[in-house]
Amino acid sequence: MFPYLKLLIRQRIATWNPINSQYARKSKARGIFAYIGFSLIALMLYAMLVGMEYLLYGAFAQLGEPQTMLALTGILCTMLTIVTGFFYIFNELFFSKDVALVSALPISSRGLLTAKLIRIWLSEACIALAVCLPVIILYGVGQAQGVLYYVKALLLVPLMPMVPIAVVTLLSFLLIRVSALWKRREALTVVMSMLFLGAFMWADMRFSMSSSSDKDAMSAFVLQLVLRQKQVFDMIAGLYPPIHWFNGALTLHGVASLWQWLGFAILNIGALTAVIAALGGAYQRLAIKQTETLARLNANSKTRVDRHGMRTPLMAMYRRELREIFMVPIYAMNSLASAVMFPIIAVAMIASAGSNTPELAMLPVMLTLVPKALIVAIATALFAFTTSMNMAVSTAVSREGKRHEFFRTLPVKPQTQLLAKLLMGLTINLICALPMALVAFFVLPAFRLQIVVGFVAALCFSTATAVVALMIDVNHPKFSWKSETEAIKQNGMAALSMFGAMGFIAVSGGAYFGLTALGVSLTAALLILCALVLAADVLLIRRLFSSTAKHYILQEVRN
Amino acid sequence: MIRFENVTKTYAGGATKAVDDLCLEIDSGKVFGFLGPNGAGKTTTIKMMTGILNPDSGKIWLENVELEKDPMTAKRMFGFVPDTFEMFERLTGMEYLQFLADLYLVGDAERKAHMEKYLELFELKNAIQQQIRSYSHGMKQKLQIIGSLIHQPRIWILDEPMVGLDPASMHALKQEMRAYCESGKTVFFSTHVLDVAERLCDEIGIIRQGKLIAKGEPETLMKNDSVTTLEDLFLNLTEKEA
Repeated sequence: MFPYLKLLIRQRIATWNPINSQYARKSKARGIFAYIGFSLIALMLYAMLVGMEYLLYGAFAQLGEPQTMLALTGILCTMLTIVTGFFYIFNELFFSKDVALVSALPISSRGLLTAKLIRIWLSEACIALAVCLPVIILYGVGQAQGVLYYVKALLLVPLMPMVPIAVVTLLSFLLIRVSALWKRREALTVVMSMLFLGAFMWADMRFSMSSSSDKDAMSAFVLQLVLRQKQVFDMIAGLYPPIHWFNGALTLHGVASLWQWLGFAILNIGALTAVIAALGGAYQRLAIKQTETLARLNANSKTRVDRHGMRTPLMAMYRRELREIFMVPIYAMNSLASAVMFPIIAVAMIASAGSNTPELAMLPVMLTLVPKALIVAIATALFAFTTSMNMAVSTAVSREGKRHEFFRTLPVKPQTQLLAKLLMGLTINLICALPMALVAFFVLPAFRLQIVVGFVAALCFSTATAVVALMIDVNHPKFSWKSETEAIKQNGMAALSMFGAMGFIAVSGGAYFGLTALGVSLTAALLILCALVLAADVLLIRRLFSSTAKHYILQEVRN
Repeated sequence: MIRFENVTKTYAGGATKAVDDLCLEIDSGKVFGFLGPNGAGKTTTIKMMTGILNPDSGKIWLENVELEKDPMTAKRMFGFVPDTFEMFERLTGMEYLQFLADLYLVGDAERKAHMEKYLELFELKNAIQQQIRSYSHGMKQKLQIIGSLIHQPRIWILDEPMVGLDPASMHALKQEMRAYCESGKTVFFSTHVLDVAERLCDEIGIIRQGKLIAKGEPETLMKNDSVTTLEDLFLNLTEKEA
């Protein structure tokens, strides 16, 4: 087991080594610059998290409850491991490519599961430390804690992800059993993930809507945030009492602290050990069974009537691009989430409006006081924003992976190939924005015309961001992925495109208000912006089909 | 007809010459076997003639069409069987073939006829409605072979086509390669199976460290080198040069 574990850890470290990055393979300087760039982005995101923790800690300290922030960070880590780790652990255990190879090696099934879970735990422990350390230091400094406090914290925080990992492992074993029975594993995974996401968003929105304040904006925001976090804490601590042990272990002194520390440590180590002991023996058999599921399914499949007619190359490629998004769970999750998420947020807001926040119930009436032209602009920004989060078009080239070589051999113009990708991206944008537009259309019947105009205008904006995202992906594709998760989720350029699209909408909003401040009417300001974006769309598409298309077909896949 | 004119390709920023000033001409109606040790430059050469890699210098003609100048026409000329299986795993075999037929603008009747013929020949009819990811290595290879023939190209390029095939399919493939060149078309394939090359090829080319070190009819080359088997010739040439 240990040589295998060593191999897994080495492999993980190698993926972070800048020398192994795709850019470094082209040129060392590019590799270093890319690494610095990505590190800066990561640092920026981390700084945002630290800033948020600092803000919240200050608020809790003012309320006289600084220890609640420690517990809240513990909850954050636990939730983070469950939410972000679910697909990761699921894939790592049952769909990793090494299952067949490793099965032939003299490693026991339990040893295999232990090695995999230890490797996962090490990654999650590092994340937990990164998330918790700022708060631990803030509390330690704020409460003038001694060295023992820091030692206890450093030993306890890495253990924290063990229970979530054990829970997710248990869930994935159950899911794999159920889905193997249903034989529609991928569809089930997508549906269950969407439901999970929906439930999570719903719960989150219920909490954020249930407390309101009309005080001074910033202090009201912080207070609302604190109260909301407190509610979350109370609810989760009720569901998961060991979080009190974690808190007690760090904040109490003497024997009381030691007992709480031991309780939390034993619970975490025990949970993971119990899962390994209970499921380890069956793991290998179940993992191998997954590779056979398709063969068994096919053996019983009836021959379908082929209704395929002749299609143009563009249509054939467009259909393939679109099908891929819907058929690969991880692609569907990352491309279609906003189609589910935003309508749920809207419905949760509406549902909360009646009981806790009467001002929300008044929204339709209040909106009648707002100029209709401004409502069009707000609708445009909102719908454009819902399209900005999907990664379908920004990874369209990267997702080809090594199959890019196949596309290079085809007698289909690169312009046609890129047009198919762009059309797929625009279709996904439409799918993402449409549910939200429908919700708005039915909830605000007095503004239907404005919503339709806003929807159309939003598509102009999202076309520009889609073309830019595609151009970025053509110029910086990530072909060297080994799993579909890597192709779409671990794609730095796609993340950049997403933030860029959000930034573009924000800048457009700023330009809109700038124009109105200069005395331009609301309608004219939106018309001017739409005209500019349409012109940009035309210019960008022309560039996409000229120099970018040439570049696309000349991109080489490097091993 | 296939023609390479002073084609060069380097990797690792120019430090390694994968193909070095390659000049080669293959007439239509011939089966050409491209041989060489591992890492000699066979796959790089094939990737350049199929448009997957860009040559650093030199020109490639396929049926008198220069690949660089008119890539779309040139790409319509050939069908390609790669040595890897980077396929659309979630499509069924039938969907994959229909997808290819659409891209190569193959008519309804024509695609149906070709599919029926080759699915029968390579015994893949029963599995064609199944997802590709459930296929074995050999089945994927057969599907790639059928896909490469769906538009009946003038040039059939195969990179290590025998790998993973069962004896019956290997036999069918050899027969089809022979029949293909007899109809006036060209077959270009790389292989490590020297027995197959010896029996099947009208001409062979041996490449080592990116340079073409021998080209001609197998019998003539063996006679010139005073050996009786292609294996001996291959070992003589590649070891001598090394």
